[in-house]
Amino acid sequence: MTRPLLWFAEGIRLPLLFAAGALAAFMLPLEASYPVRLLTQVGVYALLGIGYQFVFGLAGAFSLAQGAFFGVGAYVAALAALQWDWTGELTLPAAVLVATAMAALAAAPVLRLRTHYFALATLGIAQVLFVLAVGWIDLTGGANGLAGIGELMLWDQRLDGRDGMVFVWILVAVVGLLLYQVRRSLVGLAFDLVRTDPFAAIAAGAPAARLRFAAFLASAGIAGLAGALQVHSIGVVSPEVLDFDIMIRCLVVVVVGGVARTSGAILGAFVVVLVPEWLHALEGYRLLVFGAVLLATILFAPEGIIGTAERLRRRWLPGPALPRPLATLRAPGRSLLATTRPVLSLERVAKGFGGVVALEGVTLKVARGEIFGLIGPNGSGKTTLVDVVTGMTAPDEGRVVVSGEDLTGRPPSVISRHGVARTFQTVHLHPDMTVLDNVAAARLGDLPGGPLGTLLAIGTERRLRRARGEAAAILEALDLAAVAMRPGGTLAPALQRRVELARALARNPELVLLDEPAAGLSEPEQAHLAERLRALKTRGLAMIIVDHNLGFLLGLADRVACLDQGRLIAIGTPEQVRNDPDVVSAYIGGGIAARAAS
Amino acid sequence: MSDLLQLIVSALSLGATYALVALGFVLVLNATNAVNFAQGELVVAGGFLAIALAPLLPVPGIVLLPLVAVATGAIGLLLSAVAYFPLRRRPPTAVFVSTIAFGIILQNSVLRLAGPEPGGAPPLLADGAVEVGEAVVGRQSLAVVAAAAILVLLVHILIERTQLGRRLRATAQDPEIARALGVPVVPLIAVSFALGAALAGAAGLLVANQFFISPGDGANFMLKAYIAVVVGGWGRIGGAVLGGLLIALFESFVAAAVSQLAAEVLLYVALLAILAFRPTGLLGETAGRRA
Repeated sequence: MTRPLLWFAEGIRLPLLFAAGALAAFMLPLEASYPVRLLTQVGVYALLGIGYQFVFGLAGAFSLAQGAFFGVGAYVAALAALQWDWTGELTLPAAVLVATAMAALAAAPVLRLRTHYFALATLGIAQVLFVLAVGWIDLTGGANGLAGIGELMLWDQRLDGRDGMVFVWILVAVVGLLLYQVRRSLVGLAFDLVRTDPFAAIAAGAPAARLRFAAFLASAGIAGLAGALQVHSIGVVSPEVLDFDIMIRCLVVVVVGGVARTSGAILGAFVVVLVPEWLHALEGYRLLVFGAVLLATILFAPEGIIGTAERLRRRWLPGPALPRPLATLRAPGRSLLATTRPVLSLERVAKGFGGVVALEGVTLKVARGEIFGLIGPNGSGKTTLVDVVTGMTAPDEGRVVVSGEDLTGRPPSVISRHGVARTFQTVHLHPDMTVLDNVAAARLGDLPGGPLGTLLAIGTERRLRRARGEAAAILEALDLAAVAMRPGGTLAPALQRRVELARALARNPELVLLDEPAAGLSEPEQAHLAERLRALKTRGLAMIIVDHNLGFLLGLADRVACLDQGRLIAIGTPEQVRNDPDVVSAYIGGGIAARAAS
Repeated sequence: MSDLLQLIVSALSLGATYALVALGFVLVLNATNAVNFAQGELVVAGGFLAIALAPLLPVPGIVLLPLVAVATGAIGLLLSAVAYFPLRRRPPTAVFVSTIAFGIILQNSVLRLAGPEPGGAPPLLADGAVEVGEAVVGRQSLAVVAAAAILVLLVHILIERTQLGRRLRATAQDPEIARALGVPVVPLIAVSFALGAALAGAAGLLVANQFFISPGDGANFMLKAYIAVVVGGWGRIGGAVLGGLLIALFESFVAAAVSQLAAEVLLYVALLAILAFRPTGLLGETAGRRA
């Protein structure tokens, strides 16, 4: 019992403010139906907007189906009420379930699409539903819609007028608190990465696909709830609820109020309902004004009202201090088995890209505590190899075995959970997130208990504090404590590379793949990096280091392999590989070919 | 037999307008890697511009066509200046929101100026029908197909045969490299927007004089263009045209055989199926264009 109470209490600051405001409104002598109706409307749009914050604000997926799920909820509640005389305790869950189920169905084809392809596909879903609502006259009443839906009843308790409004706002508070808790938790950090940089999310081990799916479903379900409440409050439903009009209002609510914030959605809902009411001169120009406000906001205050306020607060008030380092991460090489088994074993791995051979018959093993260098001319398949090992590309043939487990073709988040981490050739950090949080986000993948554990991590500040403490310890060990509270994008490139290494280490890996870690580093910086990598090696961490810089690698690696046109042409000690005639000719030949091509 | 021919010609004329909208859509998509969500509203604007101009200038539609295209092209330039260029360094969703907002403004301006009633523009050349064997085919449909074909041909020549086209293609392939090679990328993106909008406006005129057009039709045109692009393959100009024709044939035949409702729903179900099983588009994709 204490846990839910704590959960509520921990995340209460801002919502409390709004709850107090709402309570004050309830205390007003609002017997007149007009203000009650308006506040109910505001609550319904706040719900719709908070729902949209999940998919758009958190996951960054520009869904244009949010209005449609609202409409689905409205029709489901209306039909259930009219056909079977269901009341609120059944119509509301039914609306949520049907909208969520539709989203789950639609997710398979559309959710893996990105950016505008996703937006347009969801617009397609909205259009189908609209066409159905107009055309399937027997069920929906066609363009005229359905009338005579009763007011909200919960277990024979009539919730009309003021009680209805209170009920809507209670739901707003509950759903808003959920969003607030997600946003400020470790899961919220992972969402930030998924939204901003998919590669950073992969490196942090965030289950991007699962997060997007959950956000899409949550959005649809909440929209369905809002739609059902709307139907009960106005008593009629028509294809208008599926019209793009609702989607436009939803965009105004979220964009003008502030993306990803509960308070933004509530504020935006007040704007979208009250502004047209106050300015009667706008009658008939409402959508025109919404369009203009939307355009002006995105141009001049892209973070919305709340986002802009938060930015000002950050500018004027000092940021939080670096948390106390927590050296709780165990040394790599967690399983004892890893001492006998190779950490990584590739068996005849092949990969082609439309006729171009990127990898062919690559077989190699990397042992615990081994530094394995990978060299080769440009385009020889080095990065493809890293992508195959980390699951970002599935091999066409062959097997990828990590610590004895066959993980061929598994998604990056799964491979990451088996102790494989990486850095990128071009740095992928969240530019606005602090260095500390960039690294702390990588602790999400290790939450115990699978999806349920992830769910329970929502809103418990303890886990986030612990992740930050662990991140601080790693940053300190890599001499990054001084920049830990700066946004990732403000660091010099060499430092950003080191932060990527810190993020990889935060995954508590057994194997790290470093894609050109020494690129752009000065000689002393390279020596410094080599020293650190040797220290990690003595703790049992295995590393695959891809680099052009033979001098750097040859002094560091235990073994080196050379790739040429996707094939391993040499493997052995650095000395052996350096003197291998095939390697020499591949490098010189590759050099000539590269010059001739350019 | 005669019914079939009529149906095909009618479908082709609808497909020709879809093709123009889709073509404009792809031009902007290629140049900016951003979607112009106001494309459908530009069709509506073009249609209503033609309807408004008709009483003032008692000339055949074919004379109005270039006027409408130039006017909507200018709206396209305005769109790029207001809703694209200020936001091009921001995340892509900013451009989605801004073009949607621009589309809302455009649609509701049309609604305020012209009212909610559907309207029809004057015929391209002349009304009436011609007899082809036993079949009676509307002159108007044939003229629409011919006009659209000429426009597609002009765009093809522009893209493939002229210096401007080469630069547009270079910008589409890689804006950074194009800039490094001295291609003026910003004006070319503006030209892409203008061209895309002009094609949408022309499509609007063609639709308005064959079928009716109403201010709320924008989303429908937008989606049909999108489906045409999905069917034809992302980023391919020829594919967009072919896709437009294919979906119009599909729509017309299903509508004739079953109902308009079934046609619409099946079209979107087919879209979702294509996205599920062939996300690169039914007819393939130009490499590396998908974000």
